[in-house]
Amino acid sequence: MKFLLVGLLVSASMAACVSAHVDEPSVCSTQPIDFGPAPTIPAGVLPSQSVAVTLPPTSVTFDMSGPLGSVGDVASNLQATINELTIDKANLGWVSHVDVQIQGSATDGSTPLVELGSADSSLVVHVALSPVFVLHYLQSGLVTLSLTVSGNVLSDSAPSGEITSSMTLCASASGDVSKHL
Amino acid sequence: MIRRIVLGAAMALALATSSVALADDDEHPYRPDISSSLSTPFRLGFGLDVGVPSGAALGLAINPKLDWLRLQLSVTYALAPGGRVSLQLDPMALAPHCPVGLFGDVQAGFVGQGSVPGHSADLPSAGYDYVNLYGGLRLGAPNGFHWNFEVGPTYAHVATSNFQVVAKGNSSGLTIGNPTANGWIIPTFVTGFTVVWP
Repeated sequence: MKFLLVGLLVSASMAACVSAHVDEPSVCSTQPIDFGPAPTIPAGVLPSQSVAVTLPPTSVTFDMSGPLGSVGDVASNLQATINELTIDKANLGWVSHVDVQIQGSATDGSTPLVELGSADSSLVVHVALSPVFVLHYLQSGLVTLSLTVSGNVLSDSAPSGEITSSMTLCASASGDVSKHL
Repeated sequence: MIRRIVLGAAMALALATSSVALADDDEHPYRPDISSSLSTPFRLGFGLDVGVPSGAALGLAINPKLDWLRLQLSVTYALAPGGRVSLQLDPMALAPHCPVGLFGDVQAGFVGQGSVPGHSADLPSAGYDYVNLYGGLRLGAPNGFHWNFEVGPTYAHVATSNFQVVAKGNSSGLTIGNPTANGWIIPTFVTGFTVVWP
C-alpha cells in the first residue's frame, strides 16, 4: 500500500506544473547629465530682464536589458512600464520645458516622451509610451535619451559655468510563468 | 479552553480508573464498553510531517468534541521558521474503528524570509505564504496513531528580499527591487503522522 502511495506521489510530482504571475517592481538607474557650459546672456540685456535660454542638446544612456532579460527568460507575456523618469533640478530650477526622445539599440528612429511635470526636487517626465513600446526599447539593450531643456531666466541670475544634473529611470516588469515539469 | 482540557483529562482518568477497578473485581466480570455511549470528548494530540511547501512541521492536534473535525497548529521549518494552521474534515472518523479514511484538509501557512545557508550575503532570500487544498488518505484509526498522505494544489505568494545582490559587480549602477510571484503549484504534498489520545 505504501509503495502504491509513494508511486502515486512520485507520478504526481512528475506531472507537476507551476503557473504564476511574476512582478519585478522596480529596476532603477541614475545617470549623470552634462549640458556643457551655460550659454552666455546676449549683450545689451537689462538687469533682471527675462531671457529665454535653451541648453545645447545632450543625451544620456541607460541599460536595463540585463534584469528585464532575466525576467523575460522565465516569463511570457512580459510587460514593462516606466515608473519614474526624473531629472534632478538642483541646477535646472528655471527649466520650463524638456524635450525627451528615446531611442533603443535595435529600433528605428526616436520617439518623444511627452509632457513635463515638476516635483520638489526633480523635473518629472511623463511617459506616454505603451508598455509594448517600453518593453521594445528597454529590452533592446542600450537606450539613449536625448534631452533638450529650455526655460526663462532673469538676466542677473542666469546659470553659469558647467551645467550638470542627473536623470533617474525606473522601470517595472511583469509576466506569467507556466512550467510543466 | 483550559477548563475543557482539564475536564477531558479528568474524564479519561475516571474511565481508566473504573476500568482497572472492574478488572480487579472477580465478582463483576462483565465489563461493558461504555466509551461509545459517551459524548465525544475534547481530544488532544500531536503531529509530525514533512512536505512541500510547508517543510518540516511539528504541531498540536485538537479535536473540539467532534471527531470528524481536527484543527492542527504547527510550527514549521523550510528555508526559515514558519507556522501553519490546518483544518481537517474527516467524515470517516465517525466510524472510529475504521483503520482507513479519506479526508479533506485546508492548510494556510507562512515561511519567513530565509536564504540558502551560508549564502545570506551573496544570494537573495525568499519567504512565502501559502494555502494548500488537500485531499488525504489516513492509515490508522482517527483516535490514535495514524499516518496521513495528502496531496493537492497550493496557491502561494512568494516575496524576495536582498535582491540587489544579483546586480553586485554590475557597474551600470542599477538598483533592483525585490520581485514577487503569485501562483499555483500543482501538486504539492505533505505526509506524516498524528497521534490523538483516544
